[in-house]
Amino acid sequence: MTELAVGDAAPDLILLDAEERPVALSSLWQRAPLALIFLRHFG
Amino acid sequence: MRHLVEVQGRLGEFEARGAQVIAVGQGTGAEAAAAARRHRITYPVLGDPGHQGYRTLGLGRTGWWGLTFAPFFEDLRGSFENLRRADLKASASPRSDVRRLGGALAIDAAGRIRFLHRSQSTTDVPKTDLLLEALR
Repeated sequence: MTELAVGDAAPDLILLDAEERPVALSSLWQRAPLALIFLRHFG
Repeated sequence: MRHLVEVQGRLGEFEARGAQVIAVGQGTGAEAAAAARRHRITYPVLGDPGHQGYRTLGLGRTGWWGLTFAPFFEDLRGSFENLRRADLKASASPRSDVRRLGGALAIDAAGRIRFLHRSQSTTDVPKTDLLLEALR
């Protein structure tokens, strides 16, 4: 599998909100440009 | 979490660009929301309990040396700050992979990646200035 790079289409990840409801990443970026930060942990 | 707190302090700069900020953690959605409350983060923090997003983006895992001793040599001040801030009971999630590294990306409204940073070590934090620059 080719590694994602700048300029590629972003993957439409499914994440969970506070009520454990699925949130599609595409539903967020369609609203406005998105800065997405992946944490190591919740410390 | 230091990075999240830093971004919280600069949230207005993201908003001025018409951009939104979302953070993702390895736990459940409820654990993510609890962490956001604990650190007074006002932007959404979402959960990725299966780590699918981390794997899809190719975010790496550090070795045991990188997890334990190396951070102290690379970032002494940051390491002590992390220890000072640590709330181990609250932060421990059975779903966490302690060796997993973080990262950041900027995505435009067409769904294209404009910035991508994969952390190379536990102290390698994406630069907020570069993230902002990509959202112009």
